[in-house]
Amino acid sequence: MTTGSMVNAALPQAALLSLDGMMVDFRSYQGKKLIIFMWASW
Amino acid sequence: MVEQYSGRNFELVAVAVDAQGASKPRPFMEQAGATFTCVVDAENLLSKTFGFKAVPNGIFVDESGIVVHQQFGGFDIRKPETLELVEAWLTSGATAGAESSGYALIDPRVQVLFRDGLALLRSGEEGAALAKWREASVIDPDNYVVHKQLWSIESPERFYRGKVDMDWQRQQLARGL
Repeated sequence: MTTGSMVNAALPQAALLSLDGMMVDFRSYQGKKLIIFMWASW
Repeated sequence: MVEQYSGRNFELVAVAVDAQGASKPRPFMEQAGATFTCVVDAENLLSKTFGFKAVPNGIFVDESGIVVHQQFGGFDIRKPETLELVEAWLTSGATAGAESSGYALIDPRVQVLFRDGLALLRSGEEGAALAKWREASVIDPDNYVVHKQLWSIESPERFYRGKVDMDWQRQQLARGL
């Protein structure tokens, strides 16, 4: 079931660890265009 | 692509969705020679936040931090239509003609079972962890983020020895596993 979309909304706060062990906050990219690409090795 | 658009005020962040942590995606990124930031979502945080049940996905965020496009499923940069969409947005800001994906509700029971299973996995109780995730898969059989992570631990030979065995996955689904 789909209920809507996040389009036109502010990017929610989220931070994840990089492969190098650094915390990456998506909001820190404000001021640049950002593409978040989600993938998996499975 | 990243190199092509570097210097155009653009960043790509790749999120590897993997409960097993950085050890699984790292070889893929190293082999690809990734020059962009790679992070790991071991806890399905983004699945819950954005409402998706499968990957690969793409989310476009403009300079002011507003989500302007989201595509859940099939966001493969090797596909001409995906590359065309990315190039159009980066060069003109246009996403016209590209329909954004809707938000899928992730059943709260699935979220709890995944979280509990992850805690068990991290404490070395793999069997108990997989039992939790199988329960989650029964509740939401369309949630491939859970399904595939379960399979990848149960049957790693189908995932990490050469190509991912998609035929085997289709057989698993057909058998309701």
